[in-house]
Amino acid sequence: MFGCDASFAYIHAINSINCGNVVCKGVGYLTCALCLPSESPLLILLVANLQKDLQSTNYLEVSSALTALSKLVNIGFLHAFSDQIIKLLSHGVEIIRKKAIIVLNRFMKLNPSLIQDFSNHFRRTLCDIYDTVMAVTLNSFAQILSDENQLPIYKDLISSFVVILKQIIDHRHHRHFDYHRMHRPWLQTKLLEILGILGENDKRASEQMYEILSEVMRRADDTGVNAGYAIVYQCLKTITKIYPNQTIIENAAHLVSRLLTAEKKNLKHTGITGLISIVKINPIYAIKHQLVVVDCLEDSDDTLKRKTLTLLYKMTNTTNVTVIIDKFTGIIKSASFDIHFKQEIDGKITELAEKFAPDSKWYIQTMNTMFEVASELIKPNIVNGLIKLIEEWREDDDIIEFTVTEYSKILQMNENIPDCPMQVAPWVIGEFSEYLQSESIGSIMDLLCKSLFKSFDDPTTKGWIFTALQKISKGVPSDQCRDLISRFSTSRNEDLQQRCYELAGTCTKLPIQLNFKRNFNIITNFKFLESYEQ
Amino acid sequence: MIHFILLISRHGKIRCSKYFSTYSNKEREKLQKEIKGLTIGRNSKLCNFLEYKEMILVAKRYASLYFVLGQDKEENELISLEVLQFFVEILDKYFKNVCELDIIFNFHKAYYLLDEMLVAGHIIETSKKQILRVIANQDEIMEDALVETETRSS
Repeated sequence: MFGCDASFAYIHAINSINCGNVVCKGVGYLTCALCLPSESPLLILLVANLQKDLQSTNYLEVSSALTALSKLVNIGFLHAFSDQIIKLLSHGVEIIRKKAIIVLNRFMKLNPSLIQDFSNHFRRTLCDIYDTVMAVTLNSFAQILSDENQLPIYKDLISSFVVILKQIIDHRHHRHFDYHRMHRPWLQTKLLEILGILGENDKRASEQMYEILSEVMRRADDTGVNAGYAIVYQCLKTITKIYPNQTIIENAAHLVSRLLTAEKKNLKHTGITGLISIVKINPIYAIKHQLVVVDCLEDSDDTLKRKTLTLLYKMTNTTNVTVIIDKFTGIIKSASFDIHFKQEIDGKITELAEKFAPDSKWYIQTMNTMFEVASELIKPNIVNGLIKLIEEWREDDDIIEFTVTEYSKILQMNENIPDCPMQVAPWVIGEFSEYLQSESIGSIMDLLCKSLFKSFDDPTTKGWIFTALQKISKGVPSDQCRDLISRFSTSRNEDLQQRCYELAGTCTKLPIQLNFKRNFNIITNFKFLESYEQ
Repeated sequence: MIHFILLISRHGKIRCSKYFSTYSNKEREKLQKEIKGLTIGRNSKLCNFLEYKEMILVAKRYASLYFVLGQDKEENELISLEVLQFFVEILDKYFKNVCELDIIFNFHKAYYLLDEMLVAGHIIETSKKQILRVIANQDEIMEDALVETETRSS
C-alpha cells in the first residue's frame, strides 16, 4: 500500500481466507482483492474457497466473498460461479442480493454473450420489494443497453422507469435516502441516463418522457445544491440525446444560460458541456453566449479552456472556420498543453480545414502552417490526402501555380524542413516543374540535392526527393545528377539505390529531353491475357 | 463506471487506493505518479474536473487529503463529485470527526466502508444509515469472534 512490493504476503492472505474465523476471512479477502494482480495463478487457489463461502450461512462471509469476487474474477473461471450467484439473487438478506447483481454485472462486462442469460433475472430484481436492489439493477440495465442490439427488447420498460422517477420526485421513498435535500440523486441520474439511451432516435419512446423530464428539471433546479445541479446536468444530457421537442429544448437552453453565467467554475464547465450538446441540435443557441464562450477561452483554468475548444470545434461552419483555425493554431504554438491534447487539436484542424475550407489557396496555406508549427504531430496519411487533393486540382492552372510557388518558397526559406513538407514539396515541384520560372529551377535543384544529405526520420523521404530530381532533370544529365548517382548507388537503403539506378538509366540512355505526359489509360479489359488462362 | 479511487495526502503519500478496473502494478504506479502531479497543489478555485488520458478525473481536497476518482468520459461528473462528498460524510459519521490519522490507523475499516458503498465501479448504496448499520453489525460480529479466540487461547 505504501508503495512497497508485498508479493511475499499473498499466500498468507490466501491462507487466512481458509481459516474459519470470520475476521481473518474478511481481512484475507480484502487483501486479495486489493493486491492480487488479475492474471495471477494464485487466483486458482481461491476458487474453491470462494465457492464454499458463497454457500455459507453467515451473510458476512457471503458478502465479503462477493465483494472480493467482483474484483478478482476473470474470464477464465467466471462460469464456475454463475449458477451460485444466480441462486443468491433470491437470498433473504438484501445486501447479498445487491452484491450478487453487481457481480453478475461484472461477469457481463467480461463476457458479453451472457447478457441473454441474465436479463430475465434483472427484470425480476427490478421489481424487488427492497428498492435499493431495484436501484442496483438499473446499473445492469445501463450496461446492457450500451449494446445497441438489445435496445428494442427493453423499450417496454420505459413506462416503469418513468413511474419510478415520478415516485422519487414525489419523495415517496424512505427519508434516509435524502441527500442534502435531494431525494435519491444517484437513482435519479441513473434513471435519466437509461431513459436517454432508450429514447434516442425514437419519437414514440421520447414522447413518454417529456413530461417527467420537465418535472425533474424543475424540482432539481429549485434547490441550488450541487446534487441538484448534477441532476439538472443529467437532464440536459438526456434531453439532447432523445428525439427533440421544441419546448423541452427551450427549457434546456434556458438552463444552460443559467449555468454559463454561474460563478463557480464547475458549473461553467457543465454549462459549456451542455452547450456542446445543444449546439448539435441547433447552432442558434451558441450565438447568444458568444461573449461568455470567449471569456472561458481566456480563462486560467485548463479544463475549461479545453472544453471551450471542443465547443468551438463543434460550432465551426464556413463563416467562422478561418477564425477558429487561427485559434487552434495558436494553441498548438503555445507551450501550455500536453502532447495528447495538441495531437487531438491537430486532427481537428485537418478535419475542419478539409470540410469547411473557403477556397483551395487558403487550404494550402493552412496545411503549410500546420507543417511548420506541428510537424511531429502530423499523421502520415495527411501527406497522401494532400497529394490526392492537389492532383484533383491539376486542371486549374491558377491554383497549381500558387501551390508550386508556395512550396518552392518553403524550400528556399527554411533550413530544417521536417518530413511531411519534405515529401509534399518535392512531389509538387517535380510534377509541375513547368510552372516554375527557369532561373529558379537551378537553385531548387541545388536545394534538393543538399537536402539529400540531411537526415530525416522517415527513410522514404529521400526517395521522394530523388524522384522529384528525376522529373525535374527530364533526362538531361547534369553534373549534380552524376555526382548524386555516384554517391547513392551504394546506399544501404535499397529504395534509394533503386531510384538512383533509375535516374542513371534515364540520364544516360536517352538522347533527347523527356517530356512527361500524363496519359493514363486504365486497362479494365484483360482479354489479351485470356490465352494464358487455364 | 468509476475506474479507481485514490486518497492522496498533501505530501504525496497514497493513503487509500481502490481500483475497479484491472491495472497491472506497473500501470498503477505510473497512474499514481501522474495523478499526484496533476492534483496536488491545484488551486481550489479551479474546476474539480481534469481530463486524463481517456478518463475524467474528479478531484477534491478535504482537509489534508486529496480525494481523486477516475471515471469514464460519458459519466456525469457532478454526481461523481457527490460520490466523493458522500464517502467523506460516511467516514465522518463512522469515525466521529474523521481526520487523516483515522484513515492511516484504520485503513481496513475505510476499505470496508468503501466496499459497502461502491462495488465494481458503481454506487450500490446511497443511504448512510444503511451502510453504517451493516458496518456496525460487521464490527459486532468481528468483536465477538476476536473475544472468542482470545478466551480460547488464554
